Amino acid sequence: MTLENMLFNNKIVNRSGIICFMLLVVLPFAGSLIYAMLYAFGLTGILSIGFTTTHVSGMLQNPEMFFSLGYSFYIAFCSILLALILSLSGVLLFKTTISKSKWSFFPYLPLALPAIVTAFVSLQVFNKTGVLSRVLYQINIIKNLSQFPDIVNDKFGIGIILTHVLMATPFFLIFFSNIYEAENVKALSNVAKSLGALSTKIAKTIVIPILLKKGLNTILLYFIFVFGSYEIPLILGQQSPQMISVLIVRKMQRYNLMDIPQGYFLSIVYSLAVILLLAVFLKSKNQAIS
Amino acid sequence: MKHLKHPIAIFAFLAFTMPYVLLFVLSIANVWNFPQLLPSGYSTKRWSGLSENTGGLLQSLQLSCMIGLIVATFSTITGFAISRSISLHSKRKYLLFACYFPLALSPVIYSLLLNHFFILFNLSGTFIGIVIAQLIITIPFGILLLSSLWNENMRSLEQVSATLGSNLRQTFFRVLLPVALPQLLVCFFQIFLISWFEYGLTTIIGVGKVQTLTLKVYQYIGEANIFYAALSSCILIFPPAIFLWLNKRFVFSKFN
Repeated sequence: MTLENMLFNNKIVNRSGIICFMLLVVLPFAGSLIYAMLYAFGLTGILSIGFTTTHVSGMLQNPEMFFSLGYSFYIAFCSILLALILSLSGVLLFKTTISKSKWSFFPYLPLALPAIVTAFVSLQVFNKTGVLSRVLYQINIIKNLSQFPDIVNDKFGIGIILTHVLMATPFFLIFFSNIYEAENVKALSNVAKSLGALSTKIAKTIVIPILLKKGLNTILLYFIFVFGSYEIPLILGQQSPQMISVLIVRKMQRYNLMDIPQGYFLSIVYSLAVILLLAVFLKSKNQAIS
Repeated sequence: MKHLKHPIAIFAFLAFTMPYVLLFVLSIANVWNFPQLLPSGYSTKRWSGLSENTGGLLQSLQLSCMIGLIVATFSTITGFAISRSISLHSKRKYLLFACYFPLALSPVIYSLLLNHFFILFNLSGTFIGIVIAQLIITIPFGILLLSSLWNENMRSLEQVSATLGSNLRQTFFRVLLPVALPQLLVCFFQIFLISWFEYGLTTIIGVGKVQTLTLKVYQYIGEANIFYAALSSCILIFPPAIFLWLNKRFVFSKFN
């Protein structure tokens, strides 16, 4: 068999493609989860003592895990909700001008910002000596630093939420604007208008349901992304409560070796939560296709 | 409603451009004490110090570039080949679904789970280790992005090419590759960005030894050195922004 035949022989290429897929995608994921499971149950690792549920039960009795999961859910939910409200309002106001005008490049600008830089910008804008407090001081709304509220490193995660909103809003703005154009929502709205529907009724019953239904999968994926975000809560979050990624890193990178199995158990819980959300995603995707 | 549009558009414009302006101003600022609205002095010494590799920023820039280019090239080629194999597989729906797992997991957690294997194979804290770790995330992304290429149209093109007497090599280089080129470019660009912006995975697998630009930004934030943090942020964000503009202005408009 010549080299050319070997390279372009469909059967060989297809089979080796699937083998590569298994080696590069499935094996690392499955291997890492199996290792985490073995570590969490004491079957491997430096302090391995054979099968034990001590670490797992220790973690389950500790409210820290549930607080962290709840806090991550709260941050993700608030961020996505606010970003959706802002981006949908933007699309309702500006319609296709977002993607068609000469200014259409500007919503793309925040997409070129990594999470760590966005967090740094938020820190410089919202901290006690940041741009916002300086502006408020200059226009005499606050008289000293103590009057400026804690927006970053606060217990309600306002800084984290605002930063995620800053990142997600332009993304959803562009995304919904493209759906608006692709689904010919303007024509549907015009039909409704000619039949006597008011603008608010058109927005409520036609535009928003179409945009949300078509964008459901992406919204869910973005929710998963925010749920597991690391850099933003690392810079703008508090010591307690911590988002799940920050808590896992803290558990697994600390000098206390007894915390490592708990960290692995937390990773499994987080991974299962992500798999569950992905299953919902797949279901909704299949429904959308059918 | 019309009168509202203008102020909101101005506010949105300011919000979208503000991070760039703020970072650039901070990167050239000397002193910025409260309650001054603007820094009291400016200098380009930090920018000019780049050429002398002050703080290792130039080295980090080269490192990030190299990792990004290797990862983007390898992931695009591998993603292209594997996505074709998957598209012909009877269980393609499940195989494609499996690609979402490494992407949906937080990179920092996934790297913590993988870290043991990297230590085992002496890849932890090495350049090659970072490249492999990033590939584990970017290859599934490439597969997902390029899987839409292999539709009925593409198969028909392959069949027409074979019917007209071309061999597999000619079909690949003269038919499939030119058709797929725009999507391959988009894939390359997006994977380069993922690699360029990657922090969590690089910090865990690299154990701080492989100092990419994102690690530099975090290091300066940790040291409360806001001016150098702003400078490294500028180096990190301006190239993708310019690239994005060029893409939107020339590449995408041409393909559209």
